[in-house]
Amino acid sequence: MSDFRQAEAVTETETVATPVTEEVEEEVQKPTEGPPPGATTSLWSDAWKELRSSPLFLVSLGLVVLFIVMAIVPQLFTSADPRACSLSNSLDRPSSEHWFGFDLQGCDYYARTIYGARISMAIGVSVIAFAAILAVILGSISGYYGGWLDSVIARLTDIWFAIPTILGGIVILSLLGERGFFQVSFVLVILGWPTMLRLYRASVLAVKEMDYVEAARALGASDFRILFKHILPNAITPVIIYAAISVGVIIAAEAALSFLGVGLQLPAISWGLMISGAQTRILQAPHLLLFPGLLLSLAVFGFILMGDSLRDALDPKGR
Amino acid sequence: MIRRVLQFVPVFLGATFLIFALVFLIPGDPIRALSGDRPMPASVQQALEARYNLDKPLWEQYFLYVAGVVQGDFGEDFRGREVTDIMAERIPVTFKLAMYAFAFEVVIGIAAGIMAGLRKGGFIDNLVRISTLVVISIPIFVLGFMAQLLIGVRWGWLPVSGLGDGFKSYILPAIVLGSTSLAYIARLTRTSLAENMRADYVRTATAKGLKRSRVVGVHALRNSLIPVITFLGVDLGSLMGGAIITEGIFNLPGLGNAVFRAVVQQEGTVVVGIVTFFVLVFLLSNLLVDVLYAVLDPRIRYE
Amino acid sequence: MSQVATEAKDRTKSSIEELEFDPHAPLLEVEDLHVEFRTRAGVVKANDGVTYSLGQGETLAIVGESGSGKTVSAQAVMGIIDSPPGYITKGAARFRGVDLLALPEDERRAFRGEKMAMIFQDALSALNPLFRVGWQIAEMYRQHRGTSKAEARKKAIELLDRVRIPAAKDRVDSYPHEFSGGMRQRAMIAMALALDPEVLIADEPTTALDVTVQAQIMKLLADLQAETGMGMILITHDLAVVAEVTNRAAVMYAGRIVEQGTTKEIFKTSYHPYTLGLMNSIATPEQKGTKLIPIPGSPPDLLHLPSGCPFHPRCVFAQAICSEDRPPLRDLGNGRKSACHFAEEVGAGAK
Repeated sequence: MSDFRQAEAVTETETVATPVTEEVEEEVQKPTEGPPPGATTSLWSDAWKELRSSPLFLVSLGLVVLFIVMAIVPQLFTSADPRACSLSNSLDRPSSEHWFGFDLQGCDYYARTIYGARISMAIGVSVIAFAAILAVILGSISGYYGGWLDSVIARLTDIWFAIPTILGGIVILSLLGERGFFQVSFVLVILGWPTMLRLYRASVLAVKEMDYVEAARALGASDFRILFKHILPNAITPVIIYAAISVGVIIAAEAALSFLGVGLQLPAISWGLMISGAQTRILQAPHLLLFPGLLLSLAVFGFILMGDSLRDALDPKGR
Repeated sequence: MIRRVLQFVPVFLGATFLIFALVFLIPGDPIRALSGDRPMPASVQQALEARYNLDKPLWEQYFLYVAGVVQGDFGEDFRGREVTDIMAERIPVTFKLAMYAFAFEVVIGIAAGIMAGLRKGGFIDNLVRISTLVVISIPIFVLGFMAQLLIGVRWGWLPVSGLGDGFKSYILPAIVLGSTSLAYIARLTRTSLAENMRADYVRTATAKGLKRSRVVGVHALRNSLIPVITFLGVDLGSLMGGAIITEGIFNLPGLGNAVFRAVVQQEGTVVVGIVTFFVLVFLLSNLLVDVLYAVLDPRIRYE
Repeated sequence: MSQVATEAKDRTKSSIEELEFDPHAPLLEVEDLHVEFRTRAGVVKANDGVTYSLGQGETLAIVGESGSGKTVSAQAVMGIIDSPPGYITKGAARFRGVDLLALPEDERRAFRGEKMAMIFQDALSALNPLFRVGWQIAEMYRQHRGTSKAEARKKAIELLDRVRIPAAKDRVDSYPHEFSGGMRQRAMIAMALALDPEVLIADEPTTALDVTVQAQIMKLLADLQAETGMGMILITHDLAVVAEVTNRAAVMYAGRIVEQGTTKEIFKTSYHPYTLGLMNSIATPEQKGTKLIPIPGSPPDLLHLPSGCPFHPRCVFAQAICSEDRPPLRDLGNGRKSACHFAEEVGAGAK
């Protein structure tokens, strides 16, 4: 089952340790071999050039954009109302008017599947965004200052790691009476931010030893400025890659939890819930399983592929 | 090394306390849930509470619990069955499932990773890259149902429910359980090997006139497998989570199934008992990986 | 070892013996070697027509800056270029008359370790960190000669002794990271010498070491060479080292050899502006109080080499012809060669 730590394995972190921003080159004249002086050697602009022509990245970008649009304006994809259900249509097979058929309650399955994107994307993006902010703030402090605070945080993350995500998710969520968007997101953030923190902290540890950080410090920059103007742009790369992949992982995790019945509850429209509902009738109505399963897999695939392509493009060693 | 073993203890205590606290802070009264809608005389309720230590403050409950665990007593569920009995009955099933999945993912994952890593940029490499991403993207329950439908029902090759067919019953669930991890292992092996093949010591080994099979199989592979082994330790945790789902789909009477039902039925003791067991297994496997790491990589031995 | 494996080994060894070596040919001869690297940014010609030779018992220095192509030519001879992205597009590398580049891989491999060995700059990364040093040395005997583990280990200890590592018996079971830099380099030398190769290629063996250790290692190499009579190619950018231990030298720039001759001669008179520049930039005690004279400009971008002579943008002797015509490596008599249109003037004009 997808787990944050496994996403880390996909990331296979190599902390990027070359000066990224042009601003840093302003402050620190670092003699480099290679491109003649004056040429901007920004890792991101090189990466972007490569990404633009990579078919895998473009596919993933297409998928991600597709799902974001689907989440924000589902009306573009379907005019039916996912909640307008009529029992007379119960379990009807797919037809030319209703592409995905109907579910047990007689709701238009196509509409439900499309609307299901909304909550998945919302949870995926917000959990990762929040976890990333937390990880960056705490990771900066922990990595840069070290000391007892760092040890405490390290111990805490150790304890967190001891509890596998799904298990922890099941236990915590089953205690909450109401499980809506906020509760599920909250639990996923709690279970996931330690990994991101560790990742960023390791990155900070590596970057802070770099000469340009030392130089900035010698020039009298404040800690805050160093952390956010110099260290952050360079240390953030593995986190960005990991974040892209993690959105996919979170979407899958939410679906898994909802499937088990401890995630979102009806009347929320979630792919996991839909698949859960399809369990007992797979044989008669496989379309109930297939369509949300397909979209779910595509959404996860899009994000993971994006993270993967990003990682290849941002790999400073090139090929 | 001793340090690592010692670190294990507070982490274990911390994690289990966390779970314990969470479970027993349940809003809602399990005693009352036991009796359903029938009113319960106060005296009976008090007696039950005393029996399950529910009348004591939380931290005391926790200490009594740990004391019990250390002596092998995981408590009882609310119907009086010893949790240890429940676990004893179900551990073999989950254990077998996990072991088969593990063997499957390690053997095929590493093999695929090696093939892909050696021919970076080639057809097999791209095939492995994309197919592993696809497998990772399909959630385990979707995979499980599809496998059930196609392989089990429509084509009838393998059994899909219960333990009726002995070993054969485990095949499909093990494959489903291990597939996501297999994908991760293949990718990790591939990247690690490809990277190591460019390392200086590989060049030296070639310059020494060694056969390529030896350069790759002995020199490069040993270094490459170290991150894979680290991953395997962590993977056990996700295998346990996946087992919950897989046992549900394929109807196997294992620990995963049990913990899930206990959660739904608010059987706090069972949940804590089984999850504690899982956490213990997970921590121990991580510890084992740490030790193994030190055995494999002499550079970190004398930290 | 299985019978099949032993036979396979004997087969390749005897296949070398079946090759027709030319007793009159130089020990090692590289002729018109072209190596290119195909990268995302374009094709880099790391070696653009390199020719040199090595005689028995001789030490040849290949001198140049980083990026000049010196390491690549050695790697091509040994057959250890990463391919992709590197490709040998033309040329020959003859070991006693037999062209290694034309041989099938199996036979080529038979030369490595047996007839030719190579040591590298960074012994820490060049040795496998997971295996004991003694094991890695003994591997040469076990794999090439089928020696038993115990016997091979004994030989490893002898070798460690020979390269002057104290208490070899105790050290043989250490891991590379447990050695100091100098000792690691010695261990690597031991590994290279295990099978008594006829050619030793040392790629910047002392660059990563302290100055005092450098001297020790160079002395060790010189002594070993005197003992065994092997030919040695020393790749370096350190002119002081070149002056001390080498017989002949070839100076490389931008993938080509620009000057060749005996070391003594080259230090006395330079026939190429680049070599001249190198000699002038060495700080000597006599220069105390005067300015140091570096070579102006920076090393060329191998993706976009200057037209004509690649050194012309930085050359004080440059004329119009230099940006148009690429000067070939000319024979100046007495074994001296230079790739400069005005070699004689450079030699005569001196400082």
